[in-house]
Amino acid sequence: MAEIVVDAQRRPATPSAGKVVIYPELPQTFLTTRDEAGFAHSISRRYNFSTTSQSPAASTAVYITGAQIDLTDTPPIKLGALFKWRLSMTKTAAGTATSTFAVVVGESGNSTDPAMLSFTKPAGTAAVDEAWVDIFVTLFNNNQTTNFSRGVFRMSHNLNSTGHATIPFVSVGQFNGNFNWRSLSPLFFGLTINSGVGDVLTFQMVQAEAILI
Amino acid sequence: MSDILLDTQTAPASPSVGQVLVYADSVTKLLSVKDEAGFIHTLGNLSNSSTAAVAQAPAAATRTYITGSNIAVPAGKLQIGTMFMWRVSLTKTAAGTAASTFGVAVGTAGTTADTDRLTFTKPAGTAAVDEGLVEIMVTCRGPLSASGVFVGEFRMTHNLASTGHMTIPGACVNTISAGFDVTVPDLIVGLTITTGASDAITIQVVQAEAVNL
Repeated sequence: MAEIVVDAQRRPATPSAGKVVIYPELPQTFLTTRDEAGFAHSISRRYNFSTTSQSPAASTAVYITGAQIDLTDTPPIKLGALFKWRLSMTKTAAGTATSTFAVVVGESGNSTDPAMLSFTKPAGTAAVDEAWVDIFVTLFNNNQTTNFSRGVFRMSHNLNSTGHATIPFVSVGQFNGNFNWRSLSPLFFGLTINSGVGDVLTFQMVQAEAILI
Repeated sequence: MSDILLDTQTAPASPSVGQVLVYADSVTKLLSVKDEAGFIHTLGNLSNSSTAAVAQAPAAATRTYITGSNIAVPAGKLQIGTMFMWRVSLTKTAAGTAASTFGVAVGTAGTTADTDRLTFTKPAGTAAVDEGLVEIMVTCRGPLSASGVFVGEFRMTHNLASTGHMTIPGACVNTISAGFDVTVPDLIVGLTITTGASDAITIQVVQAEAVNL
C-alpha cells in the first residue's frame, strides 16, 4: 500500500475502548486522531508566520500579523497545550516608554479580542536597538470550568543598558486563573503590541506555533 | 486492523476537493499529508542534531559546515512560511578576539559548497574563556520562484557580561537575503561558521528543526 486517501470530515464520535480514529478534521483538514476518552490530537503542527516586515503604530493595540493560531473546531484543548511565539524587533532612537505585549484570545481574530495574558516590556532609552522576543504560554485547567494559563515573555537585545530596555535581558511571567476559551467559536489565539509613546518598532519576522493541541 | 504498512513514495498528485492523501515520503521516511491545494505537510518533527561522541572544533578563520545542522527539504520543496530553528552551544578558550560569521547555507550539497544566503556577524570578543548559546530562526518569505527571500534572526547569549565571546551580554542580528532560487529540488539547508583568527571554538550541541515542509 502506498498511500491513503481520506475524506475530510467533522469530528467523529468517540471510538470504543482500545481504539483511535484517524481523520482529517474540517475546516482545516489537519490530520487528527481521537481517542477513547474523546480527546482529539492534531497530528499536524499548528503554526503561522509573517512574510513581510510590519511597523505597528505607537500607543495603539495592534494585532501582530503572522502571530495568529486558528483553533476553531479543535476544542477541547488538552492539558498542557503549548504556544510559542518568536519575534525579531528593531527600534529606532525614538521612544523610551514601556510597551505591552498581550496574548489575546477570542472569536474575532483581531485587536478586539480580550487579553488572556499581558507582559510589560520595561522602559528603554532613545537609542537604536534590535531584539529577539520569545513568548511561551501553557494552558491547563483545574477542572472543566476553571481555565488556567501561564506564560513567560523573554527578550534579549544588543545593548547592555540602553535601547529596548535598561537591562540586558527581560523575563516576565504571568498567570491567569480563569480565562474561559472553551466556549469560544471561532477560536483565535494571537498577539497584540501596544508600544510606548513615540516608539518606532519594526517586526522583521514573526513565527507562531502551537503543539499538544 | 491494528497497524498500517505503507510503501515509501514520492509526493503523489493533489487529491480531490475535500480529501487529503496520507503517504510515507521516500526521502524523509516521514508520514506526510498532501491537501487539495497541493500543500504537503510533513507530520512530526523534521529535525537533525549532532550526535558524534566528539564535539566539533571548527578550524579558525575557515568556513566550516556545522555537522548536524543540515535539514534535507522533502520532495514537496520549500513553502512560503517554511520555518527553521537552530540552537548551537559554543565554548571558547582564551584564544581569539575577532568577530565570527554564521551563515545559513542553501544548496544541494549539504557542505560548504552550498551558498550562504544569510550571514550573521557575531561581534568581536576578548581573550577570555566563555560559553555561549546561539539561536537562529529563519522564515522563507517566498515567492516560490528564482527570486525567493529568506529572513533570519541570530541571537547569542553568553556567560560573561563584557568579555569572552563578545563585549555585550547578548547580541541580536537580523538579515534579509537577496533573491535566490528556492524551488530547486533536493535542497539542503544548514549552518556554516567562520570563526575569527586564532579562535578555539568547540561546538558541543547542535539542534536543527524545520516546520511547514
